[in-house]
Amino acid sequence: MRLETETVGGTRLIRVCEPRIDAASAVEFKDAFRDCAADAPGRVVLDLGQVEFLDSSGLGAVVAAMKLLAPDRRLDLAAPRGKVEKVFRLTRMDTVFVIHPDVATAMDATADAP
Amino acid sequence: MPPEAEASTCGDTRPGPRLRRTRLKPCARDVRRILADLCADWRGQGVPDALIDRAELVLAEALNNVVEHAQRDRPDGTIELHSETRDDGLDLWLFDDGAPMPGDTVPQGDLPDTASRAARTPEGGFGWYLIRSLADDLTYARLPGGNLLRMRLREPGR
Repeated sequence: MRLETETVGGTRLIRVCEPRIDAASAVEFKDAFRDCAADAPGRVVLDLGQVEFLDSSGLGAVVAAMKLLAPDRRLDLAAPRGKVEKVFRLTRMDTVFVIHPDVATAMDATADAP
Repeated sequence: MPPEAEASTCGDTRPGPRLRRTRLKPCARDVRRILADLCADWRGQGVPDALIDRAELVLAEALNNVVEHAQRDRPDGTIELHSETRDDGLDLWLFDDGAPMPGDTVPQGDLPDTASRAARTPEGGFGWYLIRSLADDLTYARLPGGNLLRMRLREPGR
């Protein structure tokens, strides 16, 4: 599972460079995320722009990533595409995560945005 | 020992139902491979993208459920998948020779409580909810020696 990271100010951007977060890769994602977030500042943005498919195992892995950061740090999501965005909406996880339409908006948002 | 995957297609050159039968091993990597094959097939048949997207997610959830529950710790178990492309949508049949569903019935698939943040947010339990949300019809039968699940997805407006 290839993730790329970049830190700007108090925000770490973690970009998922894979087309799928599914049952076959959920554990790999959690492990890779843990490594990338280990020394992250207070806010982490997960860029899902390259992800084409997310199943319930992948969704569970993203929730696990959020829990790994809580309670002192938070996880926002950015740029989920059609099918992926639909899974967040159908499961009402769009009410749990702050989801930004694109990475630029996510990086501009402050940590205390809703 | 069955071959790793078997596929047969008929009726490709004329309209009407097209049936594809596939056999897969109970592992997440094989599920991923079969989904990629099926989606490519459906695209080639002109199935609308929105319907393919729904079918891919429904099948992923149903197949992963078999891998993680019915066929858990049964590496020699088999899963057989029939996909029928119809004028009005897709009919999907899954047969596996694994353990029965609890209570011989399909889980209700209620949405887990997502009202609380962080520590109490559930990491699982969304699979059956997604299947029930996206499939138009769901039938389960416990047969001698296995489970049969039929899922129908209808194209909107047909």
